[in-house]
Amino acid sequence: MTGKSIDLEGAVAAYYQSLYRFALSLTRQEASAADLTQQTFLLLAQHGHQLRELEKLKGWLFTTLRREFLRLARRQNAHPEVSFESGEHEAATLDVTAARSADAHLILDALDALDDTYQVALKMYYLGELSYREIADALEIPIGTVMSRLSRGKEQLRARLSSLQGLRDSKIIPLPPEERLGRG
Amino acid sequence: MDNNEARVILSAYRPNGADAQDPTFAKALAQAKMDPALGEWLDGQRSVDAALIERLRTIEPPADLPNLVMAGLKTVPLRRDRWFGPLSAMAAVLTVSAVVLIGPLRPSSRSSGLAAAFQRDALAMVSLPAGPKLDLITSSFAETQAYIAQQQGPSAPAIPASLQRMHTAGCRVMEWRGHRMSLTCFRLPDGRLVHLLVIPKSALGTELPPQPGSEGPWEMICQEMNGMVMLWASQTSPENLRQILQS
Repeated sequence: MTGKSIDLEGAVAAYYQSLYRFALSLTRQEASAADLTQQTFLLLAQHGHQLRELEKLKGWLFTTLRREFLRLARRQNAHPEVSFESGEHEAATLDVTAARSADAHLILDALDALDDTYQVALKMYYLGELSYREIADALEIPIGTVMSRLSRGKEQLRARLSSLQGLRDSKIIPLPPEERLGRG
Repeated sequence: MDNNEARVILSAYRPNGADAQDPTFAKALAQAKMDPALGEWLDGQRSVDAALIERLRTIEPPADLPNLVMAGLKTVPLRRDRWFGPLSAMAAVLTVSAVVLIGPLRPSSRSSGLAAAFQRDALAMVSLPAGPKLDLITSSFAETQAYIAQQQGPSAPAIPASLQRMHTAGCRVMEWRGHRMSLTCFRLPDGRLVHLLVIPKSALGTELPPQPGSEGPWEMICQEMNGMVMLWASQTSPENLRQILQS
C-alpha cells in the first residue's frame, strides 16, 4: 500500500495513547509528554505526505517523537547525560507475579535507570510495542544490534525492577530522578 | 544456533504474537519447542513482558489529549511546497506547451454515449459532499504529478501556468471502464476546488469529448490534447474557470 492518504483522525485514535506513554518515558513530565504527543501529530499533518508506506506510520510517529524530544532537549539543554552503575544486580530476577504487581511509574523509573544504549529500544518495545524492524528503522541501527540491545536491556531492566521492588517492599522509597540528579 | 543465540533473537519476540509469522523467529521458536529449558525461558520471558506491557498501559494520557490534538491539527497551515529539480523542469515545459496546445473551447452541445457517461461519472465523483476520495493528500502540484506518473495514471499534456502555482488538495489514480484515469484537485485562492480528470481519448472511442456546460453549481470544460481528454470541473464561475484555463 503506497501513496495512500493518511487518516489523521484515525492515526490519533490509534496511537495517541502509546505515543503519550513513550513521550512520558522520555520527558517524565505529563505536560511535556502531552505537548510532545501533540507536536508529533502536527508534524504528521505537515510532513506525513512524505510517508509513502502507511505500514510504517507507527514507526514514523515514534521516530518523529523521539527526534522532536532530542531537538527540544538540545535546545533547552535539559537532557543531561546520567550514567548509572550497571551490572550490580545481574543475578537478580523478576518473576511474572512481581511484574504483574509492579507500578507503572516504577517500571518507568527502572527503564530510565538503564544504560542509555538500551533505554530507547526497550521503551519502544514496551511502550510502543514496536517490532524489532521498526526499532531498527527508527534508531537506524542493524536488526542484530536491536536484538542484542533488547536482550541485554531486558536483563538490566529485570534486575533493576527487582531491586526497586525490593526497596519498595522494605519501605525505602527511591528518590525521583530529578532529585537524584540534583545530588549527583 | 545455540540457546544463547536463540535467546538473543527471541528477546525481540513480542508477547502479543504479532511476530508469530515472522520467519526471523522461526528457527529459534522451533528450537524452543524442542528444548525444554529454552522453552521454559521463553514462556517466562513472554509472561513477564506481557505483564510489564499491561502495567504500562495503565498510564492514562490526559482525557482531553485526543481533542487537543485534533483541535491543533485544524490549525495547521498548508505546507509551502518546494519545487524539485526535474519536476520543476517538467512544469516549465508544460507551461510552454499549454500556451501552444490549448485550443479554443468547443461550442456547447450535448454529447451522448461514452462521452456523456464519462462526464456524468466524473461529476458524480467530484461532487461528493465531502469531496472526492483522494489517494494522496498534498498541497504540492509537483507531488501530485509525480504520484500519478508513479501509479501509471494518465498525465495532463498541459497545465495552465496559474494552476501550477496553486496549492493542490491531492490526487487519485483509478480505472474508468477499463481505462486508467487520473484526478488532480487544485485549490483556488478563495478555497474552491478545480478538479482535473485526465483519461486517454481512446477511452471514449470515436466520440467527441464532452462539451463545456453547467450542471447545477458545477461548470465543466473539456479539452483534447495529445491523445488525452482533460475534463475540468469546478464550482467557480464559468468566466473564472475559462480565465484560469487560458492563463
